Amino acid sequence: MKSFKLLSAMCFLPFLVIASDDVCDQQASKKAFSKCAACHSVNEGGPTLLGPNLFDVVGRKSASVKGFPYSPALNEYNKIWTEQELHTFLEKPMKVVPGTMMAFGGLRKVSDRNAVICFLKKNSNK
Amino acid sequence: MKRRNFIKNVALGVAGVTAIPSSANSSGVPLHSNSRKDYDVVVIGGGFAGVTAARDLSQSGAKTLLLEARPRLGGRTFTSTFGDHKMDMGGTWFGWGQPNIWAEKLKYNLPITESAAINATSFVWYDKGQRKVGTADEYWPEVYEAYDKFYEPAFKYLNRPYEPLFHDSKEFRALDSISAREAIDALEVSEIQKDFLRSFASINGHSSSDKSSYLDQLRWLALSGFNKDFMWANIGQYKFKNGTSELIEHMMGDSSAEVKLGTACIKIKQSDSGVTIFTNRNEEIKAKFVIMAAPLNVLKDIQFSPALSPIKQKSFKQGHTGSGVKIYIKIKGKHPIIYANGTEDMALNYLWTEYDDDDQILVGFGKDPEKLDVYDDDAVLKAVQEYLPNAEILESFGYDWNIDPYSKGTWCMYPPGMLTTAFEEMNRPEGAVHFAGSDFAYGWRGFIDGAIESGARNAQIIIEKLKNV
Ligand SMILES: Cc1cc2nc3c(=O)[nH]c(=O)nc-3n(C[C@H](O)[C@H](O)[C@H](O)COP(=O)(O)OP(=O)(O)OC[C@H]3O[C@@H](n4cnc5c(N)ncnc54)[C@H](O)[C@@H]3O)c2cc1C
Ligand code: HEC
Repeated sequence: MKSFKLLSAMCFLPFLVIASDDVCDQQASKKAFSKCAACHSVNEGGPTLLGPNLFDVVGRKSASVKGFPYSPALNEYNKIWTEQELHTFLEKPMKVVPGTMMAFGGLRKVSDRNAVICFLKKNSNK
Repeated sequence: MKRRNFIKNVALGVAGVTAIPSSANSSGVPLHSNSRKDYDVVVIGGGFAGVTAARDLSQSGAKTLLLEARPRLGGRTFTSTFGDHKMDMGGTWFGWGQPNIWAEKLKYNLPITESAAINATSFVWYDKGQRKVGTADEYWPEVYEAYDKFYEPAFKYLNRPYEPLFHDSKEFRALDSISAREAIDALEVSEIQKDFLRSFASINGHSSSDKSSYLDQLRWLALSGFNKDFMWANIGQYKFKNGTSELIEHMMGDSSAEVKLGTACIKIKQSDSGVTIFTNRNEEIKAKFVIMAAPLNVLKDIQFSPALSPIKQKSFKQGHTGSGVKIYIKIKGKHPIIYANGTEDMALNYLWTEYDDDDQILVGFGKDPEKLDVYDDDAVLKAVQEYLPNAEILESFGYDWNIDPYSKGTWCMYPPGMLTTAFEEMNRPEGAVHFAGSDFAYGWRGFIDGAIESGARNAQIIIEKLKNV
């Protein structure tokens, strides 16, 4: 029910569902990131597991971690990872950036994407 | 020294990042590489087959480049962390009936551990739609009796399991022409035994039991000395304590091949002057020989000039059957160690305990991603609760090998007909281009062992050829 409401909110008023600190549930956001954690470290200076380190990624320029061999597709994507941009990407990464090396079907539920983005915002300098 | 450095680099992240071409710079503008070195051999694909080949070739003195599309080596093996353990998201288990990988394990003296399910006390299965819970003695005898019927032809036709076509004949081809499902349907066993066998065939072929060849399914028992317990010991008991990546690191520590990560081959052109490899970063690399060690299911994406033989083209398009899911699930609290085996059409066909921690870690296998979206927590919970009705999930992860552009599938089992009509031709080099990989192996095809076997053999053939160039 809850996710249905969020979903309909997403259709009409996308800005309402963007993660903000007060709706960020620690437990849920860590759990949501477990879908990413096998491939991405998120601590400052963390290693490349398969994808690039995601510390401070919110607001970062796409494909900008030095030394990481981004796919030509992501190299050419040329966006800033704003919350809105991350929402779009994480829902269907391989559709949004055809040719990306990120083998991930996507987070279909807006609540999951919110939770992950919350987690990414927490793991930053800001 | 060299080895230590390599291991350090791997531990830190992208191994051999320095080998990334300048075209991978952050401006995103691919540049033409201006270094035009010629290699004796370029090995394409840094899974176990490619890593083995590159090590052996470089040790023989051949100037070797290992070209890998992903930012890491290991291919369809990938050690990461889950629930505080080093866990393999792809290939994991191996056994001492697998001569090639076991020799590497002994050579580098790497520690192993065992899956908790070896000591399972709670067996769960389905009988006519009813969930049953019992002991090993209530589960295994009926299953093993069914295996005996299923594997019967193996004794006659596969007693030289590393020479897969040794008994080629009309009857042999007949076994290859039918699917595992067709064979099971015709067996004189009970309905529940048919259910067990269909589920077993679907995990082995990692797809619906009507997709894979009956003959190809029979191999694993033959390779295990025709012993059912030993077969399970080879395919689901022992694993590297620190993950498969520890073996990759040691093999690379012994290699002096150059490594280029994050660079995919998109085209291979052969002429009298040698082989040219074209990459997705607009480079052209020249070599005397190529070992193509990318997975069978992605070979159709690589352009070959001159064109490959029609049989190769057809087989590469057809691919192997492995296309299911593997998922790790952490459930809340202590539980009895479980081994569960459902019917073929359930979201998870098999589910067992990997780590008997304070919160238990399970591994599950399903034949079809359409039946289980591993990223949908509700669907995963439902799938687990079919076996453990009160389970509460803390977290779960499954790597989607099927959508990864550099694997497009999981492990190799052949569809009907491929072994007897295409296998030899698939293994035949095209000019200076050799085909290697687990999907081309003679023995443990579809396993890490087969990757090492095939990589080593092809390296050796080229080492000999280089002596005469
Ligand atoms: C989920 C899963 C579970 C498994 N479980 C087991 C198990 O328990 N035990 C076992 O023994 N085996 C298991 N396997 C099978 C085993 O992992 C594989 O058979 C084996 O690792 C394959 O090795 P390979 O070197 O032949 O191919 P890969 O490991 O697939 O290596 C091929 C390499 O080629 C690269 N590549 C692809 N395209 C290109 C290109 N165009 N240019 C450059 N590089 C390219 C890929 O990135 C990859 O690194 C499992 C596999 C999966 C997916
Ligand atoms: C299977 C491994 C894998 C999984 C799972 C995965 N990623 Fe990725 N991710 C990658 C790879 C590889 C790249 C680099 C893609 C490229 O270069 O095309 C990447 C790139 C990214 C980027 C772009 C980073 C940049 O520097 O531009 C973001 C953001 C990202 N991932 C977030 C996530 C999040 C959030 C999740 C979980 C919901 C996730 N990823 C799950 C492998 C993965």
